[in-house]
Amino acid sequence: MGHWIARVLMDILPLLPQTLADGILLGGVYAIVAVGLTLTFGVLRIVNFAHGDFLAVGLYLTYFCASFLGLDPYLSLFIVLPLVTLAASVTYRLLIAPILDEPERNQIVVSLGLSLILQNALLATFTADLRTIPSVMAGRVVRIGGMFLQTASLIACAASILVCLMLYLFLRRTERGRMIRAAAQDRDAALMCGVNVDRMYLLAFCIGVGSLGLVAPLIAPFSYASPSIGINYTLMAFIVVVLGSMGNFIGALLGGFIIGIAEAVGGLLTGGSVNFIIIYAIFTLFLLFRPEGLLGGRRL
Amino acid sequence: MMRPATIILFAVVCVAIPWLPPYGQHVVILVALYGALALAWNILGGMTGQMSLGHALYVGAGAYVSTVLFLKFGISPWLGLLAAVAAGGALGALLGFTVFRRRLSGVYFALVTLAIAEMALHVVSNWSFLGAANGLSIPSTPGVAAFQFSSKAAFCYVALGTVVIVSLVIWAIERSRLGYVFLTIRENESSAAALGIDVVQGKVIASAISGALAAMIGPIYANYVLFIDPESVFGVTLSIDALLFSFVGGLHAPLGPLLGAAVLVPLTEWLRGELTGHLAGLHLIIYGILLIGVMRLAPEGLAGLLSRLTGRRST
Repeated sequence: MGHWIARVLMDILPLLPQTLADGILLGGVYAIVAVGLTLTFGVLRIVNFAHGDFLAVGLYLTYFCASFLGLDPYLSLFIVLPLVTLAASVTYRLLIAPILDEPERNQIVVSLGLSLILQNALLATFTADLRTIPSVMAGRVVRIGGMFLQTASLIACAASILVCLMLYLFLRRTERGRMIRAAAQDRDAALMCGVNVDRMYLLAFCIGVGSLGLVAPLIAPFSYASPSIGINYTLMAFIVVVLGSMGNFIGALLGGFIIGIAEAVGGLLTGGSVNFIIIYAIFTLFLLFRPEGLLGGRRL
Repeated sequence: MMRPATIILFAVVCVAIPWLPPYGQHVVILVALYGALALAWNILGGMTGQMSLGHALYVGAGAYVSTVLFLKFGISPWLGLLAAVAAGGALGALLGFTVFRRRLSGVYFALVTLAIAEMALHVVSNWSFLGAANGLSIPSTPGVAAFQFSSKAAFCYVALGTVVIVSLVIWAIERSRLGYVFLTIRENESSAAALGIDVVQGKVIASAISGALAAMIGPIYANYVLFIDPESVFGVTLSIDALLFSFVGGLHAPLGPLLGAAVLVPLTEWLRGELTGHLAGLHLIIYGILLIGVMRLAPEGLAGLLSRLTGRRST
């Protein structure tokens, strides 16, 4: 016991600020991925198991731009974002809109099918090799206090928080945002008030999934592309969303930081993939004892 | 479900096994094991309507229980098989009791089962006693006592035997009060409760039976391949396969999940042979398309299509 405490004081404590910072930066990225999921769930009431796979598609598009067009991820953003948004709108028209009224189980199965298709289309096209994506920002660090932070991950986190806040303001303050919320709260009432609910659904899905087209190039410099990376992000986004309450933006931000920090600190304390056990345990306990999440209620 | 055609088909397969090439026998074993898993999944997923995304938990637990008992304690794999079934049933009951008492259903149930199975995967991957991520190898000692058979044909019969056991359990459930309990819970929980059915208890029983039968697949797989690692028996792909075969085959036909495995597993093997390494994952793309296609066009699955073609109500 005494030995263990000594180890914590000597080895782990000095590393803690750095780890916390890493966790917060990671949390920002989780937050925006989760905000996309919570938006599609909150508005369309649809559970999208293929959410993270669109991020994987975005990463491979970024990789493609980097290796064939020589574009830096920060430039290819202007190609990847529209393309992923386009893919989202096509997916909405072909797959999502027809199943909106079906039982939840069928929606889960259709989105699982889409996930299988996307993940394995990437596998068939790009093989299972991990691809790193070159960028001017790769490997650059800034020193803040005693901590070294990757510039790229600082940019990604800042952009994520900014986009989350912009989306929040968009939904709260603009006419279009109010129409989306109206469609989310009561579809029939919104229809009767002249809101084009189908268009609002399309818009919400395009924003929720399309935002992954922004996240992908931003995380590309410090991440990698792999066909199976999507499922990790899907699961992580679900965890964050459940933690922060389904449909709640602020909750998603909060949940993102909690999970990011839990992953980083868990990794520091235990090593291996034990940190995932911690995260899944937090998630399971929340589902069992507080399924409405930290903030509770749907506040879209 | 015990239509003469089904029994005749099964008898033909049994008789044909010794004449099949080894590769054909391998495919029969895979169909039987995946079919049995999908049937077991369907007791909870189809018959009771609680969609699990974590049935790999039971397969993995079963495989590890019997393998560890054999390797570390020298206990016969036959006893290991029984222990695996008991462990699967206990896990299923425990999980069901914890989760259903908190009234988790739908997507929340799917997510919590997925999370628990992933948790088990990472626990085993980090546990050196269980071989961690490297897995465990079972030394090859052919002999019935060691649950290793000298011929593939014998393994075929063992695998088909598991299908028979699972089918018989399903048949017994359907003929008993329990079958109606499951059906009522699936169709309308509030009505079930109003009728005086203990909904939570019904779901816990479904989860326990489903878990016990799924856990039976683990040791048989382990002793066939003679190697297990966390990814192969606890991996999320296995859970998705169970769901996929059931949906494609037909959730509401008693043998639908088996039909799903009987169509999709040979298709996978054939594609693997045709493509030999090119376009890895193509069969999973086809699975995805099939899953969406079945969901959109034939919600009752292949079994539903089949009975529509033959003009009967169910297979």
